[in-house]
Amino acid sequence: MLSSFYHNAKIDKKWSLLTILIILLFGIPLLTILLNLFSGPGESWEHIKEYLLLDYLSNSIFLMVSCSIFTLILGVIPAWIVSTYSFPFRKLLQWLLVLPLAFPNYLTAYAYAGFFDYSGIYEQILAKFFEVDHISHIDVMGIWGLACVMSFSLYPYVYLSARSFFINQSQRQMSAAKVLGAGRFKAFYSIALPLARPAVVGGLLLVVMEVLGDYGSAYYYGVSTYTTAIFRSWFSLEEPETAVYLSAQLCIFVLFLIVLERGFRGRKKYQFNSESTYRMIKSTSNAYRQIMFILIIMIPISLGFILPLIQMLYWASITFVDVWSTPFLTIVWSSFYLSMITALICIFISLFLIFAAKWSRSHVIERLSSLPVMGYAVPGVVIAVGIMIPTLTFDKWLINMAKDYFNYSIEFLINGTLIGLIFAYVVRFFAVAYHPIEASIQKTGIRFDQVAQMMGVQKWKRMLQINIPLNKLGLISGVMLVFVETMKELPLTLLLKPYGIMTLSVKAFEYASDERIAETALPALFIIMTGLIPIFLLNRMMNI
Amino acid sequence: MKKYSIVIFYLMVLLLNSCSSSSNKEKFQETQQEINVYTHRHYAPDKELFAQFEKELDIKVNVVNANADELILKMENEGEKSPADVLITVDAGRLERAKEKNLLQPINSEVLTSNVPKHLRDVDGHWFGLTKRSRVIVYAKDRVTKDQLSTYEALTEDQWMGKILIRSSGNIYNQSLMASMIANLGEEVAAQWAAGILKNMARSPKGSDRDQMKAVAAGVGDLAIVNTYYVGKLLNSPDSLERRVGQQMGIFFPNQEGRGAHINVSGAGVAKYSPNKANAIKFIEFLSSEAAQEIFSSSNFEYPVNPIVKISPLLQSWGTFKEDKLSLSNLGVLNKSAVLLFDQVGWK
Amino acid sequence: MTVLNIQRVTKSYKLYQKHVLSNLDFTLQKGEICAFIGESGTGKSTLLNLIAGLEASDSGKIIIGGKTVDSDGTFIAAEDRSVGFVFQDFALFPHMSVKKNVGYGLAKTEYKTARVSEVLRMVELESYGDRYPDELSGGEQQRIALARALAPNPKLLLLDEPFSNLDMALKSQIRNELFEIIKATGVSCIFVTHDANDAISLAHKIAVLDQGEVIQMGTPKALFDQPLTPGIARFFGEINIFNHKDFQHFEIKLAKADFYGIRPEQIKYSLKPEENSHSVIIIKETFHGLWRKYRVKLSSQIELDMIVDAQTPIEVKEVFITLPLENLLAFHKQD
Repeated sequence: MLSSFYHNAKIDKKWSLLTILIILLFGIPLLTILLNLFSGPGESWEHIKEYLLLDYLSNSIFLMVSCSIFTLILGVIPAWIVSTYSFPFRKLLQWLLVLPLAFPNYLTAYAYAGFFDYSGIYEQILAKFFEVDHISHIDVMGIWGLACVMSFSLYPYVYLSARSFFINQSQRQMSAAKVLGAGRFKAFYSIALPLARPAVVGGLLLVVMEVLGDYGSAYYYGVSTYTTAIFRSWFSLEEPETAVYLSAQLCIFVLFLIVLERGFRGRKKYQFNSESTYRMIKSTSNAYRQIMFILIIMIPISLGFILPLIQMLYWASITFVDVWSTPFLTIVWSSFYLSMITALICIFISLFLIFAAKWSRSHVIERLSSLPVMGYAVPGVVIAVGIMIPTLTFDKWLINMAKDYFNYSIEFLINGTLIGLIFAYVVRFFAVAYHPIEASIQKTGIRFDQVAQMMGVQKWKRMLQINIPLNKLGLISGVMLVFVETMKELPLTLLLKPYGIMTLSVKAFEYASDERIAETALPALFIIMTGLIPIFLLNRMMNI
Repeated sequence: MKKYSIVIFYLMVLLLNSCSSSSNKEKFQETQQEINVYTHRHYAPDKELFAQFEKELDIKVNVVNANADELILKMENEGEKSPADVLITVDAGRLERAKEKNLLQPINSEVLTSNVPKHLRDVDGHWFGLTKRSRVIVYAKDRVTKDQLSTYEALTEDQWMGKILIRSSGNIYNQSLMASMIANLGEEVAAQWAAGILKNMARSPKGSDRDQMKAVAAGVGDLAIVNTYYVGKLLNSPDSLERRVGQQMGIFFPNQEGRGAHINVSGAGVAKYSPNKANAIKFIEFLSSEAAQEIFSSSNFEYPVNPIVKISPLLQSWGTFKEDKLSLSNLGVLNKSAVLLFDQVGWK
Repeated sequence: MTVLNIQRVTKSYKLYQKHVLSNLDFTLQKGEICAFIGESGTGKSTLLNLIAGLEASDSGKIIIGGKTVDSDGTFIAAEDRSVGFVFQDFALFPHMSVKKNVGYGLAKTEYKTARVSEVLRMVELESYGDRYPDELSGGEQQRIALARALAPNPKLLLLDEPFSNLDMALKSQIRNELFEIIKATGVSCIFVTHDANDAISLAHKIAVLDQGEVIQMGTPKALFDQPLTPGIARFFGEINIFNHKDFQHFEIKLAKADFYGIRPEQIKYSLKPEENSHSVIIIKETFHGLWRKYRVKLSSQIELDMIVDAQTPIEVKEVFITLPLENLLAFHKQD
């Protein structure tokens, strides 16, 4: 097969090899982990299988299914409303809908636990304003609570992909439906929804991956998930090989999901005539409906943003002085630039892989090029270790080489440096940039690239002058999503961050693991605030 | 094409430059004395203490903060090249694990042997306890009296059905408590004990030690098994509600007639491949000194290990207690058996 | 001089396992305009993509201007083939002005500005240089797309369904204008269409594709007069097709063939019986402005269509028709 590849003049070798090289680079941590699938689990595997696995698996499956349903409801309906109807505050609301993304979901989970805690804000309000004698306690700390709380912070993934689809969707199909006598509602579920399916499924995939990778919230809520099994076998049972084995299985499962999603999209590459993709005309609806729309949209915003924010603000107000005394702005800045660099590298590589795969003219390469998205499915800790093991070998080799041959003493090049940390971030969050960019390119089509190609324009120029400007929105949403994700990332940062660099999430974690949940509020608020900047920018761009 | 490759080359040079300049800076610092501390502790007073050490001995302290398990893993992976000099954990079990994994080296320091009582340090001097805490029973003062309580084992009695709050078995403090049960009573009895506690639980285990006490205050149950310092933290919380919860809690040190209450330490060891061994020893000695101990233990409402150091008024108010003199090395050795037993009885 | 030479080109998509093109041969001379016609899914667009270099063939050889661009051992990328391509949806870069669109494929030299205004003049849109694509009508967009494709002086121009996106009312006018421009430049040109009218009126030669093969190729007249199959004949207009058995009823002596055909407008009728005429009954009449169409039935129950001048409606039920021998088409079954 390799030799037929090599001898096939039809395949562009330069682009194929570059693509393979990048895939391999991404593959290092994943392969390190997947190879363990063959070396098998450790001896405690039997123990895990007998006592834990069934329970953990069913919890994970429950969370995946329930979060998918909840985020679909919370995401698609508002996306449709804001992109179809005109009503007061529409622009503000469609912006607010994205804000829960700025909350790391473990912080949302903490906030909800605090809000509904014994004599938390919720019970105080009830006691104060309704003079209820016996307050029925709402226990969010269970599997249903976890599913709800995670959905509240994850629905923007579905919302964003659905909205960007609805906004840019073809006028024609909708007009056609209207002419056929379909009302807006019928047009929604019979035309817009099926057409939006690839985009929405892409958003759902992100939600499911996020749910699978979560550890912080589930741990705090006392729900054991598949990821719990990884942590437990690693740290409690001291069997990294079993943990890595479990991670490998998780990877396989996610790969399966990705293939499934591909199948879902199927051969249906909906090509939209670029000339006819302008915004849908907003119908002015009556006052009653306008109020109804605003109320509907306020539900996810309140649940995902306002409520946890109130809790955080309350906590921040009682802990501000204490936490502010630390050198806070330095921490904010290092979080900011780490996230920005990561985001830019992610979109650069996404663009590269998507186009290099096309330019390689090889179906095999094109299939392979989306493999790196698997990194997103692997819990941060596993990636960190997957990177640590091979890069340490590399670093040690490098140090020995430098010592033996050049008599020169050097430090670790990758481990415990920014390079290692950013590499890990990129491996982890690549999918977050790749999906919106790929969706955007799928929508714009590669027609424009082909036109330019036919005019004899070389690849770099096409990239800079045609493909990047035309997919600006997809690229910006890619940057934004990766940025926010990196800001929030915790376990990987903990393991790989260099000396002297402190990020907001690590700071928040320090407080949380010290059971000083209230003190997490200030770093949390900063994560949220820095997360708001790109969300704001993105929104400006999308509204032009 | 050519133009762009030049631009990219230029960017790469810039990137490499910035990387190497930052490592130059590190090298510059190398001329100064320094130690690298891997620590699971992250309390503000710790940092002040480190700063004080820096000032007094002119040795720079670099801190890597993370979970002990992750730090151990990091050291394992880094091997001989590990920059770590000192490992600080908040649990003796983890220090013992680090020792088993051959990540620590034995230290022969008279200062340390005199400052740290024998059962609170490793026999071979691989690690030394620095602060100690007890895992005790707290009870709702309005519903439970002291004389209803006696031992950990007595909590399995039917009178506490649906009354006990304790966090999940993934928590290291529970694992260490269980390990001490196994060491003192044997696996079989320990397993029965865990099953008995599970039977009496007021709800399935979740949340933190603080959450257990909050639930006691809210009447979900009557008793909780928590570490002493969490009571101190509640009492000193910025949140008035948490303070009120703290005030409602009574502290009971169990097994006073017998082996004593289960204790655990946070402690430190010198890394096997420590590049700055002498400084590392100085650092641990410093932390065990009378002056440092007071701050180091009070930062987290813990008890100092150094017997000559006075305990804080709050801790005094809880009274003195008899502590389980079991060598803490056992906590590490038996940790895995503890976890396996927890899983077998179904304690989540 | 041969501009394009395609030898035994085969292409299939692994997913479908069916040959989209199989062993296709084709040649185009300089200055020639050729139309590919065929039903959708017969591989027309794939063929254009192969010539353009947007896809690679599985086997066979493509030679453009004497240079092999696609064979077992070579593949020259699309950007290096100097082939112009006007896509069905025009695909004007929405973020660039007309001037920038047109000049995009030209190197930054003094020649560029001159060439841009030259081709804009050619398509008679000189004053449109600073507009943006969304400010243009469909016809204007198409002319800009053409100008853009012609600007780098391609050896060969490809047009994919060039008129499918245009209003019917404007179509014939735009069609003719467009090809005036193309003919004026003298560029060799291939266009793909499913509308035989386009092909007949614009092309020097027509190639009919079916199931990945060229089943007939020739001048428009040759194809119209002697279509090889009933299918091809249908492309160029309505036709009555009879199988051998049905045709016996007309009692016309003609070389034996599998099918016979006659176009409705070539059927002659009279109100009284004539020599070799057949009596038919009118079943249905439809009015088409300039002409009327009648559905008629022979005594042997065979039905056929007949088209007559609109001025003279037939007011009787029964008429007599003659099939002129010279207009009869005979088809043989294709293997």
